[in-house]
Amino acid sequence: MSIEALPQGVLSTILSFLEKPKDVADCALVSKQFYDASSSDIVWKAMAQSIYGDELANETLNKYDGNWKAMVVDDNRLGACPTLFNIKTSAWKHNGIATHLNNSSHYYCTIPCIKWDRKNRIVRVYIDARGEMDLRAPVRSGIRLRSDDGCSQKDTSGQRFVSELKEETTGHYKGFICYLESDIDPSFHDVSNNTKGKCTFCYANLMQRSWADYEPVELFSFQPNTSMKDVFSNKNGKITYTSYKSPFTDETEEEKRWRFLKPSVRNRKRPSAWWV
Amino acid sequence: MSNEEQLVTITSQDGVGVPCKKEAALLAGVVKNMIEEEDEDETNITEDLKLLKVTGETLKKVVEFLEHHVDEPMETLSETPLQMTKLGECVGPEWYVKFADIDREEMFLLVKAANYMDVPPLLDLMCLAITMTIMDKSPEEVRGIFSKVNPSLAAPPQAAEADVEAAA
Repeated sequence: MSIEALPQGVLSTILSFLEKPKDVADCALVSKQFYDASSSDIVWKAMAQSIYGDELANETLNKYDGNWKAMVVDDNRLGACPTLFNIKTSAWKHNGIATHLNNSSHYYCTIPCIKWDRKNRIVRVYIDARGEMDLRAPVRSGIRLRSDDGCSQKDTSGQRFVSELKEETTGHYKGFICYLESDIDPSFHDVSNNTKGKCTFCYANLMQRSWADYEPVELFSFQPNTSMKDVFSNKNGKITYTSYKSPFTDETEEEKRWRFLKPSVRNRKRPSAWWV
Repeated sequence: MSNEEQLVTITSQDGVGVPCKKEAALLAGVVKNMIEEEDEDETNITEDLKLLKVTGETLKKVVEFLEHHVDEPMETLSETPLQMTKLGECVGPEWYVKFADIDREEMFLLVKAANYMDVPPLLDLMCLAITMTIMDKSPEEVRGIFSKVNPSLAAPPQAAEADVEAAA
């Protein structure tokens, strides 16, 4: 008895257990029967749900007119962003010391995550910056790619800031800063050709010189010859995908992000400017 | 008489009768249907469970699986596709891994039987076992494994090749 004698649904089930699109692709080349079985929705639905997670895959299916295979082939560019979660803070430095260390003045920019928006070829750095009334606007926040050996580096400023606050408030910015994908991609600048390095972000400072008055934070580090995909992959090569929706909807996450502040600062009442 | 002690005899295509606990036999959709139909007629349920598409050898394996499944259910897979490359890492308990350690011919027969008899856990287990054999193989190697492929059917459409490559 050969595999040809199996009902096609069974063969599709067998293929649906394969992990990598490449494996399914290889099997599709075996024979006509394999090709037909590999085109089955069972296979691509299982694949899509495992890559993007059940919820995100189901939600974004309509962007591909219900075609699971099209979603995987396009890597769900229309509905899913590779995302790095970075609960870190770029704090204002007072006399060179980050303010969260001495709590003297209060300007902080927390970064919940960065998302790679492949549809528009940009990287969104989500920020939630809070401070006193004269908190500076976020769009000129700089990103620096720098190789560890110091031989090459590239500074980039934000292109645009998209606010997600319902109304303008002084001393509070929440939303994302857009950077061109090509400005952040380490492989694009020879920064990562032979050496590893880091990508850092500094709030409201274009260049991260010694006089920058916010603490630079690391967004990600990269290995030699890193592509954007590698940047967004974890150690096991798996990418975390999220939707294009705002990450600022979860209140407990929000509270967690600001927990590093002393309660006396966090709960401070200030006329019109201080918020938490 | 309780269900657990009741035995039914399932007869194969080639006339081999395999006794099976009723409770276990009910896991197979096709047997369940037969038994339920007969119950309505109030006839003796221990007779005439004949499966026309399954041979005696395979049926014995299926019954072995069913009876074991009643005592010690197979743990279902949490996630597909697989992150693992060994059956032992994604199926438990150990008994099922040993059960699936059979040659490919037998696997196919069992898959077919499980599909016909409507036994989802067995179908899953066997499909998984077969998936393991084709994982990380090139098209030529897979073709080799299932060597009875007619070469004239083997050439896939060119367009398919291009878009699956993009997916990879």
